[in-house]
Amino acid sequence: MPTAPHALPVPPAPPSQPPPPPPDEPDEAGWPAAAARYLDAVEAELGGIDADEHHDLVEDLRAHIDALLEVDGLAAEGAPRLDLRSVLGPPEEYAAELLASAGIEPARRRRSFPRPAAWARRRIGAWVATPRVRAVREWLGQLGPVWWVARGFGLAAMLGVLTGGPSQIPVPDVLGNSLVGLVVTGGLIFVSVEHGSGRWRPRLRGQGLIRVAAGAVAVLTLAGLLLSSGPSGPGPGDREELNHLYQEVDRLSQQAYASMVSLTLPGGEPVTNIYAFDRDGRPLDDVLLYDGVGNPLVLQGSPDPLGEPFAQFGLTTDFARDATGTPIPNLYPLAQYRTGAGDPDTGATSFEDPRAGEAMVDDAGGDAVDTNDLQPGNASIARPRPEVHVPPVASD
Amino acid sequence: MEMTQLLRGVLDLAVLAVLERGDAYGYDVLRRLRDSGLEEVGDASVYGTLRRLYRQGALSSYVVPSDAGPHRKYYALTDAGRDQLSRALKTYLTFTDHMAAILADPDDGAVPPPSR
Repeated sequence: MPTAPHALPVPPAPPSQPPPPPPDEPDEAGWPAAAARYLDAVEAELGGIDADEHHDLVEDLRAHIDALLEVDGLAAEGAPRLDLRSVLGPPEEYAAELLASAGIEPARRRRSFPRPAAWARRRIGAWVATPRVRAVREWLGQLGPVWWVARGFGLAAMLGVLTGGPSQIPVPDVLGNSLVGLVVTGGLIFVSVEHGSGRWRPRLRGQGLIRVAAGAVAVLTLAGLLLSSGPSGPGPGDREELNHLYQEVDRLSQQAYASMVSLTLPGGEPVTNIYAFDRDGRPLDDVLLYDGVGNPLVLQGSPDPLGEPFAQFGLTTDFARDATGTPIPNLYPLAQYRTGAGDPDTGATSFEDPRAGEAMVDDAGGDAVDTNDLQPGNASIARPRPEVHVPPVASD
Repeated sequence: MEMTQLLRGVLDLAVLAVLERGDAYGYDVLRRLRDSGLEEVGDASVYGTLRRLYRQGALSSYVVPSDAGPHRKYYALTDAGRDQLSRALKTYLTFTDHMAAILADPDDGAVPPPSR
């Protein structure tokens, strides 16, 4: 028996407010219970056809009933009772016509026992159609294109993690190569957007499963990336590099500390002390030396209570100290002596120039003074008196 | 609602022609058909036809997000769909010409040829 033809009213332009709430009836879907039952019945009648086709046909009908309900709800005040059976025909006939015009062979149905999967799917379908869940779904649906891009990126990032690329943000490295990573990321994002917008839907087996799996992988990868790395967090590849860097810095700083010699002679020997003489060859004591920009001229690091500069040369340095006890490292000549050579009883220490060598000095009269005549025990004695040839200085 | 083979073939042409004027989603296609007077066609037939044409490659589809309400799946003609439309249209017009020739009795002229 043919159904009565019905004229479809024009659906209204998208309203600026959400459509009015459904009629006050005990329902589980925001739909009248009868509508949910109708959809369930058609779905059952579609039976065991191809899963993707099944999904598409049911979704078509869901959208159609949505449209019918919306129009019905807006057209008639009071309690609109859209009778789907009279409008669409019995569910069995609707399903049969759907299959026939879609060119799909109806599956041989095993009506003997209801498949739990189908029942579960229906219950989940009903829950998913409740108003709150629907509102959430629709809100999430707005993120459609954003999700498509994020999905593509998440999949590329998973590929990057699997192939051990060092950096994941902003572009994952695939196979350790950022160019490959860029191409792969762009490609996956493109595919994801094309698929999401419906422009590319190859008929693969288990397509729905692939879609869900891809989404889950992308979500997990993105969540993992966001959680594991803070604003300055390194990826797994970065950590290796960082460790290398730390080791390198350690090694270099040890080397540097061991050999913090700031002045060396051309042959590479370190300068351990500076003796100053005025232009007439008289030795100068307690000279403070600075470099060209005013930094104290320090021969080796900063003396501290723990470390002993020049220790590797077997020297102990007794730095002059200021009023607060802070060592003055650039007061020359430094009081140095061979480590262990001090006399604990008299407190006298013998100072020795590490670069021992005979020295001559002219006194005011120009006669050479033998340094061996100088008395020991005096801290200022036993300093070399090198022959100083002062170049003539033009007077200003 | 039973549909004869003929009507199914014509429905393909009708759906393709509707989409040729502009992309539309399922309910929209149905409404345009009904507005043009095609009252005998059932809802299931239109949706099933859309599915079949899509699977055959005559249609492409895309989702349009909407602010108020659910997203809609729009259908559009592909190049293959346009080919199919023009071929089906030619076949249909040829067929109606032949039918007009058969139905018009040159003797009494009772049934005038349908105007095109």
